[in-house]
Amino acid sequence: MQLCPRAWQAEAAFDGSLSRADSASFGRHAATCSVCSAERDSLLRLQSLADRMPPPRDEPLRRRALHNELLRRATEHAFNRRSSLFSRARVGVLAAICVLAAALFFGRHLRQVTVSERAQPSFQVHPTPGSRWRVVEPGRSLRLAVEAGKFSFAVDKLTHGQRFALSLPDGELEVRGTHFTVEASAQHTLRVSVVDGLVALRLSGRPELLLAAGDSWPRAVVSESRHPLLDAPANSVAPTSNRVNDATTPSATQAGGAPANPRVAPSRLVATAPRGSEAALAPFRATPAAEATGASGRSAPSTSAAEDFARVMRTFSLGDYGSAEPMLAAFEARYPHSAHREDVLFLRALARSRRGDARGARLFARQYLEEYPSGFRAAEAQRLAR
Amino acid sequence: MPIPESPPSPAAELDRDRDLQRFQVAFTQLSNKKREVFTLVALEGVSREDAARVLGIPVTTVRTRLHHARLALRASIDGGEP
Repeated sequence: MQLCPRAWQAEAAFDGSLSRADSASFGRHAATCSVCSAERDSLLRLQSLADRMPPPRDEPLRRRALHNELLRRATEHAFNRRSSLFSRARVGVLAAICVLAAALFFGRHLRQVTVSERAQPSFQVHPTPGSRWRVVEPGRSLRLAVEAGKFSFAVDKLTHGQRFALSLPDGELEVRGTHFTVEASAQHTLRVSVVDGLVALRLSGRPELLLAAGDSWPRAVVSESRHPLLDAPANSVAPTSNRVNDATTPSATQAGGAPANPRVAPSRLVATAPRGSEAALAPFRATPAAEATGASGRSAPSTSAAEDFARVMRTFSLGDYGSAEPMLAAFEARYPHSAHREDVLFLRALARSRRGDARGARLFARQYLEEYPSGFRAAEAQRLAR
Repeated sequence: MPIPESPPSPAAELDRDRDLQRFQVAFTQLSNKKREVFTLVALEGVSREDAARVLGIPVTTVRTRLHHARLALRASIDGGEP
């Protein structure tokens, strides 16, 4: 326990930290102060013991170890600093790459959009020998003119802003990304068949027709087929009548003035038999009752029509929509002005819907709504038409 | 003719050995920081400034660590625990 306030100077004087005057002053003080004198003696004694400490035998090795340790720390420090620099540089490079990639992607995307919006629709046309066609309006709203002949068109899917229209002798046809064939004479369009996609056919004096995949125009071709399930015995049918076929042809419509049902709806244009099975179908033979019905407008269903409709309904009720839908089409073709027409149109939409063909269901539902906007099934048809 | 210095008595010799042992034990029980400062300054005679430069610490820190190392060693030699 130190009682002298100058005892701390003993160590300072021992270490030589005091000035010469202070050291001399402390020497004179220590000669008379037992505390400071004891402190100085204790330090001298400690130093004498330290001097007697044997030198470490492995001093060279220890120095080398310390030197290696120093080098290791220096290397580690430099490496850490370098790695931090590298990590910063790496982050910067990655950020630059991301920015560059984003710029390239968006730039390319914008360029593609711009190019696609500027470019005209891509299509292929295969005319038969002797056919004539020309480009009326080039550009992204491309318009071709078919003058005469038979053509097969394949139009790639149109992008935003692109249109592909075909001027026909008596109307026009707008493509919405499809593969189709067109046959035309100098004055009239003879036939349009859609292989894939959707086509809007606008003939003069007629409302727009939407032809989906498998649809064809005119109806005359398809109405000559009949579903086997609706076939009546051969000995009970009347001679073939072409009146209905003629009514749906452009020439017949123009010649006969306003037809009983001027709209040639898509459902009429859809093949009335399953695609690919036309050859197996018997020729359509209209019964006298059906013919009379067609001539006088809608009336009570004839006995034959009622039986056929009951047969169709039995199939429909069994849930065999795959068979019921062609039967409905065949019934519609055979009895175009039947009192069951409203039901047939709706059932066709319903059959398509239940078969998972939403687009077909939508088309038939829209046709139903156009013909029967206040029909009994209008509410349900609106739901299917969405 | 000078009178030869008398050799230390056996008791004094034993005390010195005992103090040296205590010093060595206390020295090994110092913390690394105190021991390296005491080694450089008291055993190897390095100046405080050089020791501070080698160890990378301020000179005042060298003096503080040296002071506490001496306190611990003196306490151990005087009979107490370090």
